[in-house]
Amino acid sequence: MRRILKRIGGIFSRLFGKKRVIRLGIYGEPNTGKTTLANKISMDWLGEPVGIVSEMPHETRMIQKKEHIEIKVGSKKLIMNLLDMPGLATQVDYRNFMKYKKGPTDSPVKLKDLRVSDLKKIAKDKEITVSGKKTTILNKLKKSVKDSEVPALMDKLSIPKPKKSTKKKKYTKTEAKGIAEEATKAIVEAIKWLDNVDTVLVMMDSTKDPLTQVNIMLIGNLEAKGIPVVLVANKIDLESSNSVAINSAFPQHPMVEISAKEGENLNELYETISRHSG
Amino acid sequence: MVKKSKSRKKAKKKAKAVKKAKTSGKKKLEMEFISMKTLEGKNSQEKIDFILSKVKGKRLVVLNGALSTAEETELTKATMEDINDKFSGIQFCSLETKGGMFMRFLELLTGKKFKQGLTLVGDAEILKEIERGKDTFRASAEV
Repeated sequence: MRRILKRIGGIFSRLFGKKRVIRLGIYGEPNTGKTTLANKISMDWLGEPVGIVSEMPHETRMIQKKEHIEIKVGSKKLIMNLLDMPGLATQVDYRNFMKYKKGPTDSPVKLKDLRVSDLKKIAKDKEITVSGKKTTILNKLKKSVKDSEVPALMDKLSIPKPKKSTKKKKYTKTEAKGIAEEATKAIVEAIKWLDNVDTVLVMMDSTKDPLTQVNIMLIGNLEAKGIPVVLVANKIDLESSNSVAINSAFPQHPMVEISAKEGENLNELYETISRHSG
Repeated sequence: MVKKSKSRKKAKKKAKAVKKAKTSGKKKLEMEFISMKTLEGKNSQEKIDFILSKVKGKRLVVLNGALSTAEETELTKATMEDINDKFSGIQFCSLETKGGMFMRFLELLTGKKFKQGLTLVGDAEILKEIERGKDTFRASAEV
């Protein structure tokens, strides 16, 4: 029923020359290349990335959107709102995150990151008399200077940015638990968003077995809701890639073989999205 | 002669004690086979709560029926909401077998949908891996 209504809507839109904006959701298991593809599309057509790509599963813990991406498909124009979804899973173990090293962060400078001489400069500016060790100065300053004010004060007093250690550290237990909590919330959000997408790209790692419960559940759900599905067999640049397995597992849906990392076959993907988006 | 039989009896007793100690050190894997009839009359949320309560009790649950995709999604959502330090999630597999003409006739007659098949659900700490085929699956568990 939903599919029929969409088709009718599409016909009317075309008749009256109105261009429909497709809400395109990129779904799949963690580490299948969803953000890599979203970044590639967004960089090609908007010149800006969508999110951070990393080896760690559940790196994307928020639904990342890029609106109004206009893509030329032959003589047609495809307009879409791109939704990069967190990876779907049935288990999230915080201990797994403790195996990974933290990526480079651009966290704002805090009071504790500054040298004693710089802390004294801030104290002078704020007309606070300080003396003694760094911890004593810090305790006194913290009463009247918030960490959020530090970057502005550094600019004002020409304090140089402190050098941070370039050595990457692994996530601590507390940090890993925090990531796990965010990841579980993100999965719930991604599931809820299944009701708000027009077309879904189901990303699969073509080097792995596609017959997983998450893939079966996701595709079954989309079929029940009448949402068009395009299967994306990613990582075809790798030797162990076997996209035939994906095609034989879900023969009822169109499949496009791509390498999101290399930007291979993206035009074919755009054509398939355009053809199957009603 | 009497001495010999006494020492034999002692050795037997000792062997029995060792065997007992060895077997009691082994961990048990509990499986609960549940008929879909048990879940009849329960709404989706109640079904999921029922399954999750069994799974969190470190049991593998086998149902003689398949969950619907909507129920599977709800099960995943409920699992995510329950994850903590001690519970890291689930592994599950639902195998649906399509009913014949009789089942379709029964569905038409009663207005109910009968999803025949098999569902296996377990704590991810125990149920480590599920390998699926088209109509089969193989599960490996660790206790």
